[in-house]
Amino acid sequence: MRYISNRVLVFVAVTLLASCSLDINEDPNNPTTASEREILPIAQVGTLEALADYPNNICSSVVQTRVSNRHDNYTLDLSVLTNVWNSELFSGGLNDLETVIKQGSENENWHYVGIAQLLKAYAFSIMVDLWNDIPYSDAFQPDLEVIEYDLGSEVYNDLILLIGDAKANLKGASANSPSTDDVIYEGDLAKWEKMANTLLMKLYLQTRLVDSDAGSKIQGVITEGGFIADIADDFQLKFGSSSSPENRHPLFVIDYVIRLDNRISTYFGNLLYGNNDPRIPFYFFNQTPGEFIGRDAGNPNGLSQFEDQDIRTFHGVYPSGGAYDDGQGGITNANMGLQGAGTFRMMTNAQRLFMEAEAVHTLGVQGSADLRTLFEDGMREAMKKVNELGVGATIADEDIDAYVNMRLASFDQGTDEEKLRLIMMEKYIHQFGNGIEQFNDWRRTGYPDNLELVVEIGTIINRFPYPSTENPPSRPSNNELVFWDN
Amino acid sequence: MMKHIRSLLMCFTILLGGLSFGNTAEETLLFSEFRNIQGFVFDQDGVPLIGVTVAVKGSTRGTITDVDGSFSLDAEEGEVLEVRFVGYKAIEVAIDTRSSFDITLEEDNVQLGEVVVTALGIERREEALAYAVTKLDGSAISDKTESDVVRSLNGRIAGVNISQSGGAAGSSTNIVIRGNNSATGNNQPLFVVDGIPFDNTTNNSANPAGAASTYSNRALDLDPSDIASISVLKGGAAAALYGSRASNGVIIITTHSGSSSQEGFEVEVSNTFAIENIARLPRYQNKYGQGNLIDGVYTFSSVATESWGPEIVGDELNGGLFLENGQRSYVNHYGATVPYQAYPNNVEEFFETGFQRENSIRMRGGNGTSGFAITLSNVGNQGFIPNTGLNRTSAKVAGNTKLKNGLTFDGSMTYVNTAQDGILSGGHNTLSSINRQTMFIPRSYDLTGFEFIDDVTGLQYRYSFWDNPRWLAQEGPYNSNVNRIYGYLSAGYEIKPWLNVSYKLGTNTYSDLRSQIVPVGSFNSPGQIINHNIAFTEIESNLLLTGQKQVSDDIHLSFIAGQNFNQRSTDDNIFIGDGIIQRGINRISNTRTIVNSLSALSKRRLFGLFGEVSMTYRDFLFVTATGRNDWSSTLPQGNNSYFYPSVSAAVVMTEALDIQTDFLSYLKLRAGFAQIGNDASPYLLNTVNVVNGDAGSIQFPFNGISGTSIGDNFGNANLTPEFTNEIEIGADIRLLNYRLGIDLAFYDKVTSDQIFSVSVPAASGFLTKTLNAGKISNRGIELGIDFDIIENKDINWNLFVAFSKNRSEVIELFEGLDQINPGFRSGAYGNILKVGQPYGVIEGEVQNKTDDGQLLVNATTGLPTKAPAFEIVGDPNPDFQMGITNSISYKSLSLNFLVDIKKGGDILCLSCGYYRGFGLTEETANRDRTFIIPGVLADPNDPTKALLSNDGQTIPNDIQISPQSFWSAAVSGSDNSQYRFSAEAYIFDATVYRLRELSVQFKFPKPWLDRVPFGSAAISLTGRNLWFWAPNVPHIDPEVSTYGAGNVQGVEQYAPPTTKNFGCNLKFTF
Repeated sequence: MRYISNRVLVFVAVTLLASCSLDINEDPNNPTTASEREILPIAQVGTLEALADYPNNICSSVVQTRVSNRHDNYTLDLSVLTNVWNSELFSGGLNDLETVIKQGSENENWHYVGIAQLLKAYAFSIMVDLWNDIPYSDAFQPDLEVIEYDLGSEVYNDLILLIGDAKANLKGASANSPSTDDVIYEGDLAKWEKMANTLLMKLYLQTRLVDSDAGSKIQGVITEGGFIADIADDFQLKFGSSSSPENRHPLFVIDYVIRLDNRISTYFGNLLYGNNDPRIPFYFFNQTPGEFIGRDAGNPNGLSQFEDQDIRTFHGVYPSGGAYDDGQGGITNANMGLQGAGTFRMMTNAQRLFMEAEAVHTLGVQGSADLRTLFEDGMREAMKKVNELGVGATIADEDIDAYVNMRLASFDQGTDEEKLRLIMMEKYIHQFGNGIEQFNDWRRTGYPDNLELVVEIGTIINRFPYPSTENPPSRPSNNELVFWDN
Repeated sequence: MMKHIRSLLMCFTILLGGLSFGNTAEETLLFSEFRNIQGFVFDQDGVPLIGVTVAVKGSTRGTITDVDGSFSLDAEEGEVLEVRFVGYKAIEVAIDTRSSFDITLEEDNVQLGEVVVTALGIERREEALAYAVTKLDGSAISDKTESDVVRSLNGRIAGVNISQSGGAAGSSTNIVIRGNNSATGNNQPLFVVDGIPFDNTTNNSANPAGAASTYSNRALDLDPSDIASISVLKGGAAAALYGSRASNGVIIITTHSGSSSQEGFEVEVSNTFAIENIARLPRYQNKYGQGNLIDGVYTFSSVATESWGPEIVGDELNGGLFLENGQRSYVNHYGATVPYQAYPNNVEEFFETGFQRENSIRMRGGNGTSGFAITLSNVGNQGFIPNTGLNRTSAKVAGNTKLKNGLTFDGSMTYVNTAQDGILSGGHNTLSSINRQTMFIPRSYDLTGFEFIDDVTGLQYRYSFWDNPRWLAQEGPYNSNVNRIYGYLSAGYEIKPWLNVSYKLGTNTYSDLRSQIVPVGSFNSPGQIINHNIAFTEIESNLLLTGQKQVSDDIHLSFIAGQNFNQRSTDDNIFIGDGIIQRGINRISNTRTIVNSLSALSKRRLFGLFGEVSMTYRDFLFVTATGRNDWSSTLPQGNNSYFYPSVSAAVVMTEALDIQTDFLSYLKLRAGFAQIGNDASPYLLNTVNVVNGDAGSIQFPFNGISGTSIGDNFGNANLTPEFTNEIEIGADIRLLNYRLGIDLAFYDKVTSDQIFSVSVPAASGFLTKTLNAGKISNRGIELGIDFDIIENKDINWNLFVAFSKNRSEVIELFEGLDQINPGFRSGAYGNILKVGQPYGVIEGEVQNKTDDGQLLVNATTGLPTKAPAFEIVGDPNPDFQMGITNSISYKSLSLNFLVDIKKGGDILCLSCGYYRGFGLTEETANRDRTFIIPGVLADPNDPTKALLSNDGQTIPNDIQISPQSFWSAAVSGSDNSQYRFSAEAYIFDATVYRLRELSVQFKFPKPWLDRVPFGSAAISLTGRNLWFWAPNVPHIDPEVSTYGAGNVQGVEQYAPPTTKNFGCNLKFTF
């Protein structure tokens, strides 16, 4: 009996030990590897959406195209901004881009590397524009205990080199090349090169107040050529209309789904109505037929966001993918218009033309056309961009001509400063929906120069504050201006 | 008198017993003249005792008393009866010429020598223990109108800290023993039921900050009425044999089982009925109604959420008020003209009186070699929030037997169904929270009188943008249905008289099917149905070899050697269906799109080998050493083995030095050191990627393209186990002839090399990194006082005090970092770990101040300004806790009350911020005035600095602000009229004095039951949480934590109010 029970015990113990291996710690739910092809699309959307959403929202409020309950009086929800910095940018899209760059270099997928580098350059340049000094050369090294910040100007310098690198990578051979997994240009490398050159121009122009060589640098880029030259080349992110998974333009969700916390600024409304701008029914959707109901920026009084949610003016089809305003009005809902398939426009051909115009006008560089033509083409390309939407309605050619000729008349008569103002104001109107560029131009050139605060509370935002979670030893002050902002 | 008689009887018995030794066994056999002897055994109160062992000394003849306390056996004159019963002093009765014996047993008030259940179900004599174990009798928690075992422990055990997420039926309870050890991991003790771990996870379906905080912790599946006893192992020395999970203490629960030593059959029926009500509602003002202060006028608005409207008694007509038949009226949300008046009870009337009933039947019996027990019980709790409740049904079968060949078998199986009807509750991210909507309803809104639903469309009538709570309660149910089975089989065999082997295999498995409905129209929602299905299985196998040997006259050795295997697996799936198609069909198939938002499998295994050696020297020196080696699947392969030892010693000084006096009856000193190793959670060794996750507000696939993003946690392939080292010293002192017992313990424990994911600068590309770092210390003192103030036949008064004080400190985190946000903070406030601070101090937004502490006030608005950085505003850990239990009995009547004191500890009451900001509570009712915030003006260009006058002096603030600004913005310390951002304005000292429990019990004396079939009967009245006094906290019960069980403590945000209840229990045995 004892002999048997001992054997049974040994048997039980051995069976238990043998049948239950400890090698079961491989995550059954998630992969630990991913190819560049799998990473690139979410890297692109993650990076760009992060900028298109909350930062864009804040900037749009500062430059008074839109009134959001919270930031038009210059108070920022630091926790949301922290989330953008932490989750959406650095550990989100940017780390995914970085992985494509690192892993793509190992796998010799150079085209993937080039695209990721260009997106990285774009995103980091915008982050410098918003925060100035940021972690850059130490970034994406999880083994570092302390991550130092780089000066914004130095990041800019390095990005110029990065863009050069990217261009070389796009030209060379590549083990694999992207197609539909590149959600921006669907693998069209020629367009990426145009984006690269246009981005160079944008970075140089951005620094023209602090870089005495900006003129010659821009001249170099213009001479080399190869820019975004057609709306088909535009560097933009097109959202979808699916609600689950959520693919819609964030602004559409606010104006057509949640329907709170957002209005059009009366400043911007007056500007467009004052010029009888033909883009109005594309830009604005008046729920009250024919009546623009906006809100003065910074005005804490008036109807609450629940009281006027069914009557006020929301964003139209441009840029959020909402409804074209046929004058009939109606309460916005998720099934209207493009159903959220709006676009975030990072760099357009019209914008390139206005940038060139500014460079020609202020730095005396030789443009791809003369100043007046650049200005006129910029406006016409901007109208074309609206007509490209595919909502049935378009702006009639005679309306475009009337508007363009009116602006040209002012342009021809204007002083140099007035000419700059007109260029910048047309650029401002065109860039509706990209508050970041509007905010950049406003800080850099002072246009629009007639923004008005009804109630002055809070300090004007010249730069984003750092997230509350950021506390590195070299953390720069929250009070400095961005290096190019003079 | 009785006492004297009893003593005489005892002497007589002993005398006779001594005499009987004169006869040899042979003589006894030869000349035996057996006759039948009958008798009864009673306790001091004359209540018959059932199951008392009555045996003839030195023979195999024996029996057990029947349901009426009677026994019958054969014996002859001169023999001695040994009468033994657990909890009573054993006596011997000599057989004389009588044929009937009435025997009275005296309760054994001297608790020493009592047997306690320690690790792995091993019973040890209490005096041999060198560590703190607190034992609670099942009667302390059963029949007490509290269906949650964990809550009923509150105040009864020194060193245990319990808080709750509120009074909603079935909501979770947090329990922590001797402080939080783990930075970010689980700090709840291990529950063990009949030797098998009992999972007590709180599974959240949504972030409790966002929606619901009424999720249960799974110890709720335990039926209090089936609990025979609870032992709480607080320290590491006691728990080493349970391995890693014992580092937070162990709660060992023993359920009723059949007794093989008991013959006969017993049926016990127990019924409890209780009503429950809200313990505390805010003190509302009823002077002003719905509206806001606009341009200096308190203006009515039918859609305002605030109560800053016109005075109720007045004639101001504004904001849509008009006179209708001389009565100020307005048109409400569904077009009816209604009067503008106060509804002082509008909140209270929303809630209902809750009911609770518990019925249980317990049958047990045995025949000397086998025993069985069957328990059936049902708990029904209809909550005080409409359409909420809990229904728990459990059935248990247990049995044991001893075969002729010496093998013993023991087994038990329990099936439980726990069905919870909950609500959306708590949190701030959703407007679909019943508590938020109800508690913050404007004072002039007739919540229960007005319509709330459009019968045709099913859409709600909301009074503003918030959801109507009545509609939510009806249309937005949350259900959880748990089916749980747990049990074990064990076999034992005596290899040699000094050596036993036993094997136990157990499992504990449950599935929880949940559905949560966000109805169509809730805060503009198209409706949502969430299905959350959780399946959990744990397998535990223990092989034990136990032995003992008397080495010499003085030295006794015993040892345990064992092998343990444990496997836990979870399958967790969440499906979210968006867009409800047909109202009323609350199935996920009735939604437009279904997304599988979580699909997580998790499995872990652990092998352990362990041993314990104990040595006893002459009954006064006890030394025990343990050691355990674990191999865990969650640590790096090849580096997954870790060993941890413990050693403890106890000396009974009164024995050793022979110093026992009338004053000092007993003194034991003890000391111990223990180490406990702990493994990681599964899958932390690699960075894992996310397929089709979120990209900001965008979800993948994006326009049909899938994407994989790199995970946010940087995996660590070099993780090592974490260790807790604990030193404990203690004393067990009995004074005044054992009437006063003092149990004292000091402990000091440090958990180091913690495995946790720390937040890292996001610029690294990751949000968190798993690493071994950090040191957290907890040191404390526990004091138990057990005093029999009055002790005589009729009146007994016992005072029991459990006092504990724990100090935690974060000693270090990891290099270069003195603070982490361990993932349980929400935006503007939350618990953090900071070096040098106690565990989980509360950090939040604060107001700018000058160096000498004066508030810096915005020179334009007159409101405080918000500081750029967060600061620590409070510490949720109590200074000390004390439970005082008084048990007084007079004959058959007993009275028991438990007063519980929690001193100190802070609570961040965000609701209080809203109560004030919304003008709801009485402190805001003084409105014919202005306020000036005491402070100095801030520099408009830099609000962190004071504005200086020309002569360099600060400028006192003299800007008058309105009451609404004061209560909503000023006190909250924010520039932007948000209500809740200044944490320092809403942090309160959570000190609370509480009458936790009051019960009166009457046991029917035996003679009363002569004509009925009951063996015993008792009736008791119990009230729980009948009264509390929180001198420093307005409006809420400070014992709640919105986030329920877990490491987030001391934060209240729209938590359901706590309850008080009052009930009656009837108990019979047949």
